Amino acid sequence: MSLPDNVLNLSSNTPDLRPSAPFRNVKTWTRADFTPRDWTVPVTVTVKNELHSIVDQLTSQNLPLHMLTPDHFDMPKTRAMMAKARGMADVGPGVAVIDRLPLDDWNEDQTRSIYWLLARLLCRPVAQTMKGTIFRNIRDILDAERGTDNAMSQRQLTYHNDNSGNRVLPKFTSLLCLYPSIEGGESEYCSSYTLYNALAEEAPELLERLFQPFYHDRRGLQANGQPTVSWVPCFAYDGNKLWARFSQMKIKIGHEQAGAEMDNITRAALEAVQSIIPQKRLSLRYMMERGQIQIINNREGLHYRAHFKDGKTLEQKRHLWRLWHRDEGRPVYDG
Amino acid sequence: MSDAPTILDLTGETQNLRPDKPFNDIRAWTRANLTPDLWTVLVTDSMRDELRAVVIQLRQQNLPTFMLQPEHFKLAASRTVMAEARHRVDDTCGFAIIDRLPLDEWTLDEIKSVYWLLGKILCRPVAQNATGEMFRDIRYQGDNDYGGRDRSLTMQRLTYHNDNSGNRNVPHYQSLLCLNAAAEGGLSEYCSIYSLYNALLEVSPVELERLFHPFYHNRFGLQADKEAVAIRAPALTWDGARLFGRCSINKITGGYRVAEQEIDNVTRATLERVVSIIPEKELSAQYLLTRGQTCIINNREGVHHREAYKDSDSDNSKRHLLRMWFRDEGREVFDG
Repeated sequence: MSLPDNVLNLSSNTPDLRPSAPFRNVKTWTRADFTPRDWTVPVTVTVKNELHSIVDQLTSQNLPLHMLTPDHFDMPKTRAMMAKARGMADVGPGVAVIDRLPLDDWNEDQTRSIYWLLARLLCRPVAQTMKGTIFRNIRDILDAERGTDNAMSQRQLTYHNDNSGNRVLPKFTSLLCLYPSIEGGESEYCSSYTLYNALAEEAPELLERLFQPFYHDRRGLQANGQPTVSWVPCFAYDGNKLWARFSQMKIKIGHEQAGAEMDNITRAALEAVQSIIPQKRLSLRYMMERGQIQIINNREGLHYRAHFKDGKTLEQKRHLWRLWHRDEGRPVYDG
Repeated sequence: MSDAPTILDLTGETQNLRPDKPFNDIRAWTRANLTPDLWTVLVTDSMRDELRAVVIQLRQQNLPTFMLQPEHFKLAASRTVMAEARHRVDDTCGFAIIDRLPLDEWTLDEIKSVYWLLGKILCRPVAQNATGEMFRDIRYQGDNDYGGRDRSLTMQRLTYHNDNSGNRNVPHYQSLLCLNAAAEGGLSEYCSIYSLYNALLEVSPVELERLFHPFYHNRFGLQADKEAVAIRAPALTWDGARLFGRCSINKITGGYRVAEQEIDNVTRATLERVVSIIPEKELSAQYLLTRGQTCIINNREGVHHREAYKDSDSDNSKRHLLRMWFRDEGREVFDG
């Protein structure tokens, strides 16, 4: 099939296999299987002491944030904590919440330095924009400043993968909660394997559609002169891992941008993903609190955020710092 | 002798050797036998094209400056030029002027990105103060007195010295990218420490020997909190292969002051002799940096100097250099 000029064809690089049976692995959990203990990684007193010591060292002799590297600090317990979190996000259930950093002991720069060092232990941080934004402030901002990113509003974000229209998806998304909202903002995470199993049982023809390509709008985040839409399946299976690349909003706009009408089965497949997760209680739910870091596997699971309301003071306005991580390619936005 | 607790004694870390004869290799040059072509490394067309391509890539997809890595770009010609510059700095003149970058084509951020990448090819950049400053703006800061501290931020003359000589780890290299030259003055000089050694050996052997003994060096408040305010270390050491200079009259006189030690006559005469013998014997090379040129010096095997200068009222005629420091030892923080 020939694609419009504004479309980046990524489907030819995507494996076109199908699982031969429903998944039975550590990632095929549902809400009923999971308690907070299963996704929580406590920050121990020893880890806190290591981090306090780093802050003391930085107070005495600092470097630009992006030059800080964990190799320069004595932090064995912190390394072990982050290795555990990575294991949970990568080869475990797909999500980990680090509970929690003593933010009240540090100023903003110190908090950022610690988050950066922890992030580097997790996986290489990469840019979230073409300009090279590494730390993204996730909070409600004025419409005029928001651009196309609904994460910077108080609105609900339906189930999606971050940056799903890009050439290379972040492997992990991490979010440090500086302040929660006064109301709402609950997070959810659903494993792609669990979603696959549920769709295989309830709507196999729609599941098959998800393995076929869709148009994904790139939200104007691509480099100048690059195609504005990508063409790639929502699900891809390489014989081992099940990759998801899903955003109903980006796909709807992507079809408009490509001048392609969405047929009924395409529309139904997108709606099935959004409806089956709450209907079958496939996702875990949690409310982030100040000092917690949420780490999710962005390729093997979808996440969601409920609508929230901010209060009037700074401390009552939901504010998270987001990082994206991947090891492949260069650390620039497009990899 | 016993030091006050305010002194960091580094004498135990230095070797107490002496060269057994004058130096007669290429490093022991004087003004008479060094011509500009020996210290000038031209920016080739290929290098310029590579750097332009880097800037175009950064305009498309950028990263914070300090995350930029040479490995992420095609910089083969730039690597060749930087290797030649490093060779001259390490093994021949002790300094090199890279002539020159097309600054007028780039914004200041782009200039910094290119300079950072070239710097990383040269050697590891390190912090220039405890807050972690990597690019130091060397320009007049509005006060020619400047509290006796960083005189490079004045328009005053800077006498022969090694940068950061009061620190635990002296930068191996210093580079200066000239964004704007002064309206008047600002001539730079560089003197090989091997030439200085030879000259002192011939006419002032007593003063030369004194340089191999410890001095107090003021750290001028750049050290970390609760660290010693001065160090005690020789101004010259020899490890059997290379001389290592750690000399700044300003820091040494300040060091004796904070150490509450009197400067004896030999010490005073030695410092004065270092400063007087270089112009007297024409040991140093002289050069005037112009916009786009990058001067790289071996900060351990040579002393450098800057003449007083005057800025004009026009922003384009205010002297402004971007300084970086480099070393491979220790951590990248100021104190290493």
